[in-house]
Amino acid sequence: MYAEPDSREAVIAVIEVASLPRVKRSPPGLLNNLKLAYFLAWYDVRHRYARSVIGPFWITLQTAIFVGCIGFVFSAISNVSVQDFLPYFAVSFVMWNLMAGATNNATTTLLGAGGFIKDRGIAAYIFYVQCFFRHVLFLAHNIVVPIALFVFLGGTSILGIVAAIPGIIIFMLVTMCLSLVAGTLATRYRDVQPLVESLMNLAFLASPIMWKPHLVVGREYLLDFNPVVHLLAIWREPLLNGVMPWQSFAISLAILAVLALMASFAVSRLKNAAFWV
Amino acid sequence: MTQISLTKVTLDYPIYDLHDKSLKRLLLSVAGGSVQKAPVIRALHDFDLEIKSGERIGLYGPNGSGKTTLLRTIAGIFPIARGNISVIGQVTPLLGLAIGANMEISADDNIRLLLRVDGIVPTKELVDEIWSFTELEDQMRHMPLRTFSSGMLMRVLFSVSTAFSPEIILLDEWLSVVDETFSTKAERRMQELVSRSKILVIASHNMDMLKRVCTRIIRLEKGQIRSDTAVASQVIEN
Repeated sequence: MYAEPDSREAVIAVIEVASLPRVKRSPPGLLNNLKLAYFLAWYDVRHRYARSVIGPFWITLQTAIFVGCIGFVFSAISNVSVQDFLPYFAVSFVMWNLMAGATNNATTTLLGAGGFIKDRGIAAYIFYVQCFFRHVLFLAHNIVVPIALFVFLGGTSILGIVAAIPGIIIFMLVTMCLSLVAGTLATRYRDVQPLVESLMNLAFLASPIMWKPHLVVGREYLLDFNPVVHLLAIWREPLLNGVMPWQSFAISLAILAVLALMASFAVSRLKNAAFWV
Repeated sequence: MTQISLTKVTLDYPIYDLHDKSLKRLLLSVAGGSVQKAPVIRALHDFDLEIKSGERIGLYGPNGSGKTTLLRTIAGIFPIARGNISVIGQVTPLLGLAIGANMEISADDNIRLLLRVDGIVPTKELVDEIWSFTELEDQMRHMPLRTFSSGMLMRVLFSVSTAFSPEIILLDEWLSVVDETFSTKAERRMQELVSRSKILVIASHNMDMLKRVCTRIIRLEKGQIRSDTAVASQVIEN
């Protein structure tokens, strides 16, 4: 039997139906979308575990092996003791992986979500948030490596960790905005994706991640004009050296402000996303 | 109150070819002083439509007449060039059944995930009910979806998609499962789903089905309404 035209007008959170199951709707809006993004990200990570016996530790182990090998080689190249170099490199590398990974992944993330956007009406920005969350979850696995190194080799203090928090937050916000901007641009213009990838590779090699800043002493302009240097300094300096680099904070906040503006423009353009994918 | 109203809606669908997808080309043409906009197809033209609570609308028309585009426009997926859309009520577009299923994770997790996508909290009771509706063996529940046959996969996807009754359902073709034992049950569930919703808009090539299900049939041609007729007698089924 069909229902007579509308006897129940009220829109209620709990819709009760005779033989269809009882259903609880989460109220739509930003919070619900962030939850959805988190769930999608969590399933991505679970997917990575699915076929390996050691599960979550596989992600950590990959990072540990890479950090171990490169750490020994590059501490020799840059003539720094392994004890000094390993924690420095490990923490820089896993944080850089968040920024580079989220940004590179964002350039292709929407292409796989075409069905969600066109057939289920899911807002496109959710998939960039999903991509960011996924990489934050990877970071949560990878961070074990630098933590273990700090515990065994030393190099930081509780105070240093606390002082690093504001910088880490700025670093993450920059990553979120950067991935939104790069992702949106790369989805609309398909030739942007390889460009982003090579820029991120360039930034990795040109910034003090695999090498320590003292190597370029006398040519400080190599550091001063590199935005990534400042984004790293704002949490690495307090963490490793107990110093607050205020100038780098100012530059990083300026970078964040510009990227946030660009990101909000990108989100406004994403209303056309269904035409792009 | 549930209601959909479109006034003078015009939708231009941009057709991006390779050139329009290149930033390099765009920058070069800006530098050259000639920016060409991507060609557009006018998918809906000055479109007026009023749907009241309790109506079940069937969209009929040849391929490319704008049926699916209209559904996506109502769902707010396509931004319109001109006009006004107002939709009162919770819209659930079910335009593709397999969307979002992750073949590598278990059926159980997929059910939770797909419910989340539709904005539903996946409670244990709900997931249990959905699973029991599929009539599949319990041991399959924790197997990854890629191990399912296509028929079994359809059962799972169908069960999730029809497990709750949205206020406004947008359908691209009637959902059904081609499976002798399951199809009657699926058909009943669909009937029930539709009867519980306040508005149904369904696009189809199957006029018989539309006459059976709908209260009003709209024929589309080239993004415009060619005819809009009420279905006289309804065969009441259950």
